[in-house]
Amino acid sequence: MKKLLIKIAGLIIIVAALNTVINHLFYNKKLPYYWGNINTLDKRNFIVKNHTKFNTLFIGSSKLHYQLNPVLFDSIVNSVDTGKDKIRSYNFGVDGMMPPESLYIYKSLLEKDSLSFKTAIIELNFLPAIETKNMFTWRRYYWLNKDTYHEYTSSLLASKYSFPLKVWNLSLLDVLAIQKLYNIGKFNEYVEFKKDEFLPDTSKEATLLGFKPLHHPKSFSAQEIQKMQDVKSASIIADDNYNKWSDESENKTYAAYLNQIVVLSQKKGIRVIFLLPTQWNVKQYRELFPILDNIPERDKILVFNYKDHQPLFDPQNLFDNSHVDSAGARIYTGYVARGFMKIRYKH
Amino acid sequence: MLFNSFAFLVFFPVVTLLYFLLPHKFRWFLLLTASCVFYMFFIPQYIIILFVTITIDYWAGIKIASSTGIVRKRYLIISIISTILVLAIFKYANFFNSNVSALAHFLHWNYSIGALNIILPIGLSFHTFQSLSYVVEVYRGKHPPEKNYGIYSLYVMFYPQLVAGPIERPQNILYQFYEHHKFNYEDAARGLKQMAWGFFKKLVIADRLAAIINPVYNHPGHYSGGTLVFVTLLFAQQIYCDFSGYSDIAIGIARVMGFRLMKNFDSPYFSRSVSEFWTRWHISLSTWFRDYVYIPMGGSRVTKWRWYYNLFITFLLSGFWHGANWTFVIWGGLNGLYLIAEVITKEWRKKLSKAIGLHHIPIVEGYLQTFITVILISFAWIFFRANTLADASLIISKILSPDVFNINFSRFIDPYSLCLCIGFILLLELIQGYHKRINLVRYVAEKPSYVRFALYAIFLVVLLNFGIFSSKGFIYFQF
Repeated sequence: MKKLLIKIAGLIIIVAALNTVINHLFYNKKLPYYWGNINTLDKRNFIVKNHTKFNTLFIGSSKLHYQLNPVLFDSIVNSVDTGKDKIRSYNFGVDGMMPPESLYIYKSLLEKDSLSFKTAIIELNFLPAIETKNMFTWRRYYWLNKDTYHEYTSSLLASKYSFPLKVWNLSLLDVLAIQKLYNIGKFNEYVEFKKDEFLPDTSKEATLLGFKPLHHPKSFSAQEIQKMQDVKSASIIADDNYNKWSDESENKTYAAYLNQIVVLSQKKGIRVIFLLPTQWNVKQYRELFPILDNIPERDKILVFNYKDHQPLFDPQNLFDNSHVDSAGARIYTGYVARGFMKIRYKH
Repeated sequence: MLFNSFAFLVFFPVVTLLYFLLPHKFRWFLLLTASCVFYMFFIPQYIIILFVTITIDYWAGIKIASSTGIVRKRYLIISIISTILVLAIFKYANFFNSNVSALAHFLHWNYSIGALNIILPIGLSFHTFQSLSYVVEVYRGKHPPEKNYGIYSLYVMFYPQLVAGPIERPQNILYQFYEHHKFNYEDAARGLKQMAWGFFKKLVIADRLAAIINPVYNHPGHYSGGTLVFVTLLFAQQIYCDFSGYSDIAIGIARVMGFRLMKNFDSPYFSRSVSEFWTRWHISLSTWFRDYVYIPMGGSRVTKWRWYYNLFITFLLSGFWHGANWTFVIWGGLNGLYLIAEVITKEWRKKLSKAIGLHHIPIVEGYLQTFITVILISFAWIFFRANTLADASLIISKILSPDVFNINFSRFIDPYSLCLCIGFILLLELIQGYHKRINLVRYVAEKPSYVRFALYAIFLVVLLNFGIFSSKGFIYFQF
C-alpha cells in the first residue's frame, strides 16, 4: 500500500505543477478578473464603456440589483440639489454578490479597469458561509487569491460563527483553493464565459442602468409569510440592541479590509459610503454593528430598522423575504436617496 | 451519494483504508455500514424499504433450501411477490393509476383515485433484481442460502453497485465477502485506473453532452429535423458514457478492495447487429433477462412464432423495467422487433451481400453493419430520451421530413462546446477501437515508469480541466 500511496502523492504533485503552468500560460492570460461570475459580465462591460456618463456607483448584492432604481435615485437627489454637479448613478448590484466577492469586484474595477467615480455606495453585508452545494461553482471562489484568501480566512476566524462552523468553512475554503490550484472544471467555465461573451444581454441592463424590478407575486405561502415575519423581528431586535451590540468585539480583519477599500478609493478621489440593508437574522446584525459603529455617520446610510422603514416590511411591497417588489423598490430608493441627501447636506 | 460528489471524494479513501486496516472478521460490517451511509445520502428513510425486502428474501432463501415440493415453490412465490410488490408500489403504481384514469375518462366513468405522492427510491430496480436472482438461484439449487444476515444484506447493498449495478448473481459475489482480501497493488492500481476512465466518460463527455441535449429534447418543437438527428446521435454517446462510466467506477471501486464485479459494457457501438449490441450493452441486465425470463419461456428452442414472441416479450419487459412510461415500453418493444427482424432477414441479408459482392470486402461489410446497427439503436433511443410519446412522435416526424437536411448549429450549440464534444467522442472511440486490437492497459503498463507517469498525469490534467464537476446524477439512477 505504501508504494501505491507514494505514487499517488507523486502524481498529485506533478498534476498540481502541470496545472499551475497551464494556469499561468493560459487562464491568467485569457480570463479577466470577473470571469467566475458570469452575472457581472454585462454590467462590467457596460460600465467600462460608459463610465464617463456616471459619477456614482452602487455595488452590492441582489438587494441593490432589484431594489435600487438609479433613474429615480438621481431624480430625487437632483431635484433638491440645484448645484452644477448632478448625480448620475449606476446600479452594479449582482445576485448573491456579498463580501468578499463584492469588494474584490469593486477593487478590480478601480485597479484593473482604472475606473473612477465621485462616490461609491457599497452595500454592507455579513460574510456568507460557504455552502456545500456551492462547492463546485466558481462563484464561490474565483476571487480567491493570496490576498483575498488571507482576508477571508482571518475574517472567518474573527466572525461570530460557532467554532465548528468556522472549522467547516475554513476546510471548505481550503478544498476550494485546492480545486482552483488544480483548475478543476475550469475550462468548462471558460467555455461558458466565452459563450456569454458572444451574446451579452446589455439592452435591459442599459435601459434601467443596472436595476431590474421584481413583479409582485400573486400570493405568498404561510412559510413565506413566516420568513418575512422573521426578517421583521430580526430588524426590531437589532434596532433595540443597536448600541449594545455596537460595543461587542469587532471583526477586525473585516473592518481593516473595508478600511483598505476606503483608502484605495480616496486615492482615486472617490468618496465611499456604506449602505446597510435589512439582514435575514439577528446574528448578521450582531456581526455588522460593531463594524458599523466605527464608520463615521457621514459615511453610512442605514435602511434596516423597522421603526423608520415600515413599508419595506409590508408584504404588499415584498417580492420575497429578502427583496422588495417594484413598488417597494420605489420606496427603498427613496429611503436611500434621502439618506444620501442627509449626508450630503449635513457633512 | 454520487460518485462524482465531494462527499464521495472523502468517503471512498476513508472506507478503503479502513477496509484494509480492519481485521477480516469486521470487514463485512464496515462495508455494510458504509453501504448504508452511501444509500442514506439520498433519502435516508428509504433504507427501511431495503431492510424489509432484504429480510423477506433472506428468510425466503433459508426456507426454500430447507423445504421440498410445493412448499418450496410457495416460499419462492412469496419472495418474488413481495419484491415485485415494492417495485409495483414505488415505481409502477402511478403509471397504472394514470392509465386507468385516462381509460376511465375515455369511457366517461367516474374514477377519483389520485396519484401517490412518492419519490422512487434510488436504484430500486437494480437491487430488487439482485434480490430476485438470489432467491431464484437458491430455488434452482445453484447456490446455497446465505446464513449470515449481515453478509446477505451486504450482497444486496454493496455500495459500489447498489444504485446502478452491475446486477450481480450470488455465485459471483457472495463468496467474495468471505474471502480475505489482502492489499494487492495490481488490483488497486487497475481499479483506480478504471475509476479514472469512468470519471472521464462521465464528467468530460456525458455531462458535457447533457448540456447540449437536454434543452433540445425538452423543447423538440423548436428545433429542425437535422438538429434532432444530430442531437439523438449525441444522446447515444451520452447514455453510453454516463452508464458505462458509472459501471467503470463501480467495478473499479470494488477492484481496489479486491472484489471482482462482472463486466457491464463491451464497446457496444462496435456491434455489427442489434443482437450483438445486446450482448455488449448493460450485460448484467441483458443476461438477467436471458436467464430469468427468456430461457424459462423457452428461449429459441421452441417454434418459430413462439421464439419471436419470447424475444418480443423479453424486450418489452426490459423496457418496462427501465421506466414506468410508455416511451420505455415502446423502446423495449422496438428493440424486440429489431431482433425478430434480424432473425427473419438473416438469409436475405446474406444473399444481398453476395449479390452486390460485399462479402468479398469484409471490412466494408463490417463497417456498414456497424453503421446500420448504430442508426437503429440511436433511432430507438429517441423513445428512451423523449419526455413524452407526443415528443417522440414529433421528433420522428421531423426526422422523416425534408427538415432533416436543415441543421443550424448556432441555434443550440456554441463552437467551443461543439469542438470539445466531437473531439472527445472521437478520442473515446479511437481509444476503444485501439483497445479492441491491443490491450491498452497492458501496453501502457509495459512502458518505462516515467512514460506511464507522464501519461497518467496528462490524463488527470485533461480530466480535471475539461470535466464538469457539478455533481450531476447518473441517468440510470432513475431506474
